[in-house]
Amino acid sequence: MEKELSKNKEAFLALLGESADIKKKTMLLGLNQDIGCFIAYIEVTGGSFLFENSVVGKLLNQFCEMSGEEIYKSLEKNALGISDMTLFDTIEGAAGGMFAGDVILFVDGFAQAIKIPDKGYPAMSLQAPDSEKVIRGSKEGFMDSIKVNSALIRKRLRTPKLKVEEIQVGTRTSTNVDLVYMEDLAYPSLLEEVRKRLNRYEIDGILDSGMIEQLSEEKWYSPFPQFQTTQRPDRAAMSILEGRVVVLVDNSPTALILPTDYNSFIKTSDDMYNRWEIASFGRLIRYIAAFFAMTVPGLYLAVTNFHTQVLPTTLLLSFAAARQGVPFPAVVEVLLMEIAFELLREAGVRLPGAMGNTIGIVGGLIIGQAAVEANIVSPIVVIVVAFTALCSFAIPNEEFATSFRLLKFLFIFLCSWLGFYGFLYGLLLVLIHLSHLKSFGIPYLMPFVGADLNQYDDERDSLIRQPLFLMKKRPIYARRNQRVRLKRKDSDVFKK
Amino acid sequence: MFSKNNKISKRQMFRLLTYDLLGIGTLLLPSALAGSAGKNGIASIVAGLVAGLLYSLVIGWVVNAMEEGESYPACLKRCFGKLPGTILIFCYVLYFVLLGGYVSYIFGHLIVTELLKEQSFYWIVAGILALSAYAVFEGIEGRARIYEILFWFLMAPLLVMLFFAARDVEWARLFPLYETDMRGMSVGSYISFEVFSLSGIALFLAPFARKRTSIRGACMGAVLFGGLVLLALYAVLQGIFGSLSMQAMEYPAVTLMSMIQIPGGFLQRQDALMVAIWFFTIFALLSSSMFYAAESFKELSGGKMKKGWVFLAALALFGISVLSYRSGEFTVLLHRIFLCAATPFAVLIPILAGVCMKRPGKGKQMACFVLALGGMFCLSGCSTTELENRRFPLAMGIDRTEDACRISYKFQDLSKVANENADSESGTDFYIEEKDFFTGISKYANESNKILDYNHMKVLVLSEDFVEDEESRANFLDICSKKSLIARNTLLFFAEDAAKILALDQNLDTAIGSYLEEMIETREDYRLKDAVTLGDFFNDMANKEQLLLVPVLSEKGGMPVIDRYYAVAGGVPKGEIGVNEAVLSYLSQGKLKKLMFSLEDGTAITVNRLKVQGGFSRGTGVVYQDQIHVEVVVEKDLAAGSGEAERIRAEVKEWLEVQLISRTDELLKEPEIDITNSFYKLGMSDRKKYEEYRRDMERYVEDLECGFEVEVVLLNERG
Repeated sequence: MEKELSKNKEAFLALLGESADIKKKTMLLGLNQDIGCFIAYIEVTGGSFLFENSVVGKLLNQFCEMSGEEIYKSLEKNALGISDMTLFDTIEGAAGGMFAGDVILFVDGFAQAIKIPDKGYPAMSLQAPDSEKVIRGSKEGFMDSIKVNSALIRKRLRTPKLKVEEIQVGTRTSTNVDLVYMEDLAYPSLLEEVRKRLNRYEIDGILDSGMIEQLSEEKWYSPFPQFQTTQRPDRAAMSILEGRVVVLVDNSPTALILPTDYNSFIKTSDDMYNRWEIASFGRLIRYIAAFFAMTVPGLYLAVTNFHTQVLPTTLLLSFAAARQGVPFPAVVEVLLMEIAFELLREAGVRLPGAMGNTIGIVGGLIIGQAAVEANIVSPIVVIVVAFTALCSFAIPNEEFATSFRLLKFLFIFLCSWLGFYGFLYGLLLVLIHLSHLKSFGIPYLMPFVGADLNQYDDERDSLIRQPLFLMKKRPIYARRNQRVRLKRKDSDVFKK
Repeated sequence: MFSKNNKISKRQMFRLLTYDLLGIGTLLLPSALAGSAGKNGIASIVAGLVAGLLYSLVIGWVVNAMEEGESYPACLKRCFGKLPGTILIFCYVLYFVLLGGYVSYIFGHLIVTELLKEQSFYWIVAGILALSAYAVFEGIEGRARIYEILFWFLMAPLLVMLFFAARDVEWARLFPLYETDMRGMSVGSYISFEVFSLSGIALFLAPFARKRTSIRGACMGAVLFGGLVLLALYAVLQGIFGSLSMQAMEYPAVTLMSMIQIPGGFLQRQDALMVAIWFFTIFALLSSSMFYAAESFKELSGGKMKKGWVFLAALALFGISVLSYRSGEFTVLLHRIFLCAATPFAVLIPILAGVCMKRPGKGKQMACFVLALGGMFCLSGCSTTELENRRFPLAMGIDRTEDACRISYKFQDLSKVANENADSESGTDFYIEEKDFFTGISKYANESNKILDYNHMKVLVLSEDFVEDEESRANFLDICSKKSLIARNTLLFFAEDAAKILALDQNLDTAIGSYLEEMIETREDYRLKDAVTLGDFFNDMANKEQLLLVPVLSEKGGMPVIDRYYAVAGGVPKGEIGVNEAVLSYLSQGKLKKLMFSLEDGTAITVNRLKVQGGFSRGTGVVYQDQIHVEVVVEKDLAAGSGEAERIRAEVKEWLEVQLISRTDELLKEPEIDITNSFYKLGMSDRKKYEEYRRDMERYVEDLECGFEVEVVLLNERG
């Protein structure tokens, strides 16, 4: 940058071109109004600068009461005490600062641009996370601003060991991405791997953490998510305490947690807040729900079309009686109902809140009752599909639940073709796939497999969540020498 | 990053090896042992298990002597020299290809016989081999994880099923333990060891084990666990089916699963679901064989073309399984190869390798010796059927007319199921008359728009003429057992005219199948512990050593009633006996759950609990003595030690003893039936006599003398 304002302004304007939302103003500062300055900002990010409470307004007012020399000195030494003031040596840097939502000030005779924070971009206020509701525990959720999100984690982990590492991704969006981790718990090799994967692609823009996730996962063809997502700061903080790394992306209320495993997707935050019996029961129910969400329609087809001997006779005869007069084969019937359910779900998500609720009633009445009365489907298929839907809703993570919803169609296909053999074939296929799947080197089926790597301690928090006082060690994600997370303070007393 | 690639833990090794042993062991060993060792099967398994444990020690010894990170094929080359080592590795390739091919044949055969009867064997095998190749591609770690996670999901149901099945075991069928000669026992032991020798796969685990020293423990654990499960399974199968019946079955363990009744009635039959156990366990051995065949191929090629060898191994396995499926002779040849060459090879080579490692320098001579020995051995030697396209007969009757077999079906009217108030007849009928049973059942498909699904048939009624006609009976038994047409737990009845009994359905408020089932369950005067099923009929016709009393149905007031029983003794239809005699027979065998009768003065007696202990006296004759302990409830209050209580106790004892002695003696003379069903218990006490009379059952009945001693406990005696 040059000392002459006109040259800097010219270069800056040349870089920005014409854009209606960028406000540019030339002003005069100093006691004698003899020092020119140029101010630029995105329209909504800056306020009225003459207003007493505005940082930029106060700064400009101060500068109007100083001589030229005093202005330069106070800028160099940040003598006015603006906490987040940054100096840029390049025009590009200054433009980047402006796009980050701050005000950029060029002063004649000063060879640097000054970034001053003001209102910033508009953002929503803190809200409860929609997708991870809990009965017990914090109601705070992440929001769009990465700064607020990292602050929400910091609020829960008040230790200097918590590190936030910022990088920028996206050649056109320059999206801020934060790696948040506990310095002494996270494996350096894991951090290295994360950095490597984040820099693996050059992309023009990152608009949500989902894009980072897809670009960084190991097996693109797997229906199972290899990153865990959360909108809950307490969940993110808990993961950091386990030695995992949280990735925050600007403009995204969803944080990524890595590495992850199957068990982590079934856990909820309040598993740790509730008593162990209740938490374990809930978890077992969710495991069963995950299995049924994938298999129930397929099993229904396998049993009714191939292996009728499995069902008690009275039940089977009821099934057969219910199917009388239905014009479609059972597989078409199941597919029709499943697609109808998926349509309802999709419509419910897209419609505004109040209307979304009516979709449930419309779906229940029209698709369920009317379709049965019109003999388009049998009542048992409605029960099967409804039960499957309930099971899929019980899975706490949406991305994870989606993978089961997709696999359900694979099972429908296999079971309608090959009966129970198809069911077993599908089950083995999914199991082989899961056993090969890893998330940043962690077997996806941990701790049900390879638990010996952490002396079987991780099994304490698997199907059953053991009492909290027994869970003395961190899971395998944490560094080997930093695994102890709980010990009794009065252990000496007990020894005596 | 965290998991060490291609390294597996001791628990994973144990579970992997257990699966390798159990799949083929539980499926094929019982019928093979029943055929070779008979009742010696249990002892044979124990002998095989001991040998297997010793073999595990050898495996541990060899693995521990191997160099760090060295694979077993590399070790063979080091011990025996490059060329002999290469030849041995080639032999191992052959071993794994044959084993994997045979196992995939068994897999395909199991699926097409038990799950998908009309599907293509080739597609099923191709599909499973493709899945296996996918599992093998990513190394051993992924496979080990599958079995680590599945272990208790499969073992727990198997053990639970065995527990429920154990209730139906007739312990006398397990004895004598030494029924055949030592040769049978030796062959049985060797066959058992053949299964346990599969643990030799552990040798190939050396470079993959997280701790090499843990291989021995994992191997011994797998052999011991597998051995105990096999022992339990064989004992249950032997106790339920008997060895002769079992050797006629293809997969006795799967058949067993179709008969077990789980309390609660959630499932009618479990066999289709329990096939999952063999699906996964056989897949384990199949993918192991493919993996080690590919690894050995790779060693032969000097480590080139990693994934290509998996494809080659899969192709070879497919070829072997197709050959086995198409040619029975090839399957027999495979059996012989495993028996005479593969198993000795799998045992001998590790021992020699171990010796070589302990005594370096002797390798080449040993290899030459082994190859020469090996050379000498060589010289010597899916269609879908929708629910509405099926019909579910709840009862079936078979009659023998003059020159034909008449089959009658009774179906449930589905409109009545959907709406209880529907105005329709209670059931629908179908009759077929053909020259024999097979032609009859085949004809149904041509004359109806629906497929017959026998899986929910409650009752089978056979006419006495049909049972007495040897040709018809043999045809029926053959078709039913080969095609697994009718479930073994279907209730069995005889009648003079089966079609006429089924026609009584129209007088009943429920389908006749359900009616008869409920009738057996809820009789007031006497109740059996277990009703007679088609499976019992199969077993007794095959074992030819027991008495089976089949209830005979007749019409009374338009309703079906049981007013006599039909005795089948030693596999021969003997004729009818009265209900009283049948009840006494069940009493003497301890098969009664409840019995009600009244004394001469009209006092009502209910026998609620019954224990019977029968035994043979030592000596020259055949004297069978039954000690019967009955706990009875008298329908009036009795004071303890009162004269009334003593009188009733004495009268009940006398009534039972007199009835038992007189009726037993009469029936031993005509129609020569031993209602105590004692013969099969003879083996427990006197093996020599058992063998002697087995060849001449008629003489046994002639020589038999029965005695009874009844002990009576009054339960409502008030003190």
